[in-house]
Amino acid sequence: MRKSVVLTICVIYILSIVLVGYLGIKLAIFDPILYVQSIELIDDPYSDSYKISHPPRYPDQDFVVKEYSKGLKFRLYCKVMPENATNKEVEFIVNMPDNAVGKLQITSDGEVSVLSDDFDILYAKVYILSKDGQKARSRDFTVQINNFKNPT
Amino acid sequence: MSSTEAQVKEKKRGRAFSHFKSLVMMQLKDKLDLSFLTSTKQLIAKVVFFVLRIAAIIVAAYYIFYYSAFFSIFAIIAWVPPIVMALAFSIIFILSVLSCMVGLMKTLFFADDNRVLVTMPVTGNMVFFSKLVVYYLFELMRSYTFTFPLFIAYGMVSHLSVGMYFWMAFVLIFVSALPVAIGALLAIPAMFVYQFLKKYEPVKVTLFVLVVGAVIALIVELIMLIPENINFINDWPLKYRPSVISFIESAKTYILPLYAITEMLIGTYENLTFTLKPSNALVFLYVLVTIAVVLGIVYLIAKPLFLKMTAQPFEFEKKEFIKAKENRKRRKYKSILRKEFLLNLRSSISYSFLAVYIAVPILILLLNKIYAAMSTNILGNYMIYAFNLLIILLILLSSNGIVSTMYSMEGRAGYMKKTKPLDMTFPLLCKIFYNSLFSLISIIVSIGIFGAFNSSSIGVGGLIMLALTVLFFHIGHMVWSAERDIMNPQNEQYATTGGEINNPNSNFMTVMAFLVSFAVAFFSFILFNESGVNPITACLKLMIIAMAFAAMRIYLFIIKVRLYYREKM
Repeated sequence: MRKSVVLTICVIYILSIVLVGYLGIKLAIFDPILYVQSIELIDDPYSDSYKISHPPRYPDQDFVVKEYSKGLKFRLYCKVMPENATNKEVEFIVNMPDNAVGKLQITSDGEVSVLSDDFDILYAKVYILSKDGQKARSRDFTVQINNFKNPT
Repeated sequence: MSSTEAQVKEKKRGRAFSHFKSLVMMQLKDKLDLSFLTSTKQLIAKVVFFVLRIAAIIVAAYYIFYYSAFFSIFAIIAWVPPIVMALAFSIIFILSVLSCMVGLMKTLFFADDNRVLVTMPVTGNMVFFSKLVVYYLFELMRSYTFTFPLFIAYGMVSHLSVGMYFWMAFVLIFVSALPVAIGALLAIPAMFVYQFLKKYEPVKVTLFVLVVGAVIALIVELIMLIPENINFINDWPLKYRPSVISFIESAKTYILPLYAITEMLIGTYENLTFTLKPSNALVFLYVLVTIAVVLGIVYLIAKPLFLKMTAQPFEFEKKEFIKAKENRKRRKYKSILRKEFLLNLRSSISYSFLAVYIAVPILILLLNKIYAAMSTNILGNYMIYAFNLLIILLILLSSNGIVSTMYSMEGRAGYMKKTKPLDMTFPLLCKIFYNSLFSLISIIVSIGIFGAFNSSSIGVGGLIMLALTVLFFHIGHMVWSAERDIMNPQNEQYATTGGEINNPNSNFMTVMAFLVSFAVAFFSFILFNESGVNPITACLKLMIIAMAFAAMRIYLFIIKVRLYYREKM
């Protein structure tokens, strides 16, 4: 058999599955909306860009500590439960003192970027909030950026 | 060294390069159809088709990666991790190595043209390396027409910088040499295995049966793993994704060198972007060193073997002793059946038919296992019946395209048929007897599998009728294909070209296979829909139509063949 014939049969084969799945399925009542129950900050599952630590002084608090370098960017990952929640979107709420030197920004994807470098240590209290209207909230954690090379 | 001597050396080097180029071009022309270069129209069509093909691969791969990221298939966030690309690259790489290994084994150690090439005014080294260069050029072409578009698509989804594409294009020139070098190295042990299997035919047959059996068992085992009531959309995050992620992460340890090459091509993921690191440059260096070392080993081991095998005088080759058999007188009908059986055993076409007859039940099992996982309504059930018929018929009837070339393939020996002292219909039908027999087994198994999933609604009687329906349509189409080849013979073409030709009979019968299959599937859907809860009447009607079709084609075959041979005699 020619390649084109084999390919055509493959396409028809896949279409036959798709068509039955589209036109021949029994009607079912859709699942009701599943709201986010809990949100938890987790270690970077893909690389070692950060690990959650617990400093001896604050053993019950979560810290994400990073050394500052120019253009530092990393992503914070969180686990949203249940996994099949209807809307799993979250936002990262950053709390910093008004007089804090240095500025930190976290997008809703968890992308952390430092907007200035005139600081020695930058602390930011962060929590994660669900966007499904139920406002499920993670426990607070601290993002600490060390910039000891800062000449000031 | 005087300037004259230097000039002479330079001239010699230039001449050697020119000879090497001619050698490579000669082999390329042998393997590629470059006739389009003579016509501007054909050249433009070829270029347009080439560009479209690459664009199609990029678009298709882009959407696969895009939706994989969108639905978080391989990660908990909208992202395709580089390990996925590394896995895809590994599969392509391993297939390339295998294809180079088999191809180079044949071309280096068993190709007939080696004996001609060494008589040319070139050195043995040149012939040896020209073979490797030809394979390298093919590999390079494959890399730029498939692997590179795949990486472009991944780069587009992962927002790679423009410079990275140029880097990829540059590095691929060297990476493409790796499967050729490894393939050439593996071709040496493969050659010994090939020779051993060629010498001991029973071992070869046993191995073939074992491998085919193991592959079938593995596929069936995998199909049976498909769970009932699949709901990928709901179950993916909790049930399937964690397993997929852990699988690809564990696979990383096995493909570390290929993962490093993938990283070298796309850069290392850091600070949310892919950037080239010194470690990537180091991997590039390793690749270059590996190619050089492997080619060095190949040169030291394979080249002497290549020259030895090429220099063997084929005129004095020991032929295996073939035991003479007594010429026994058999009944004329039995004799023709036996002849066709032996021809089928020796022909490579039998493997194509075997593959088709094995593939049909496996594909039907997969199809029905997937359907079983869906909760279908009554319309869905009728669609399932129709699609089962469609797939079985499509594959079986399309394979009859080969039947419509079988008579012509005999070339000039085909005319010997006329010397047989019996009605021509019998020897002509004998040619398709064994196909019908083996396809019957395939149909019974396929309908049996279909029945295992749908017997409660169709019943055993209905299943038998459906099996007969498929069988009659298949036999009718097969006889039609044979008739088409006999009435419009291409014997002269096969006699002169010897190889594959664009056979109009095969094209026509393939189109007919599609038309008949779709017509049967469509008509069966209407009949099942009309018959309501009792599909037995639909099965009966279908069987009667199939019987009428087969009877008509067999009748037309007989009267046409009788008329044709009477006129030609």
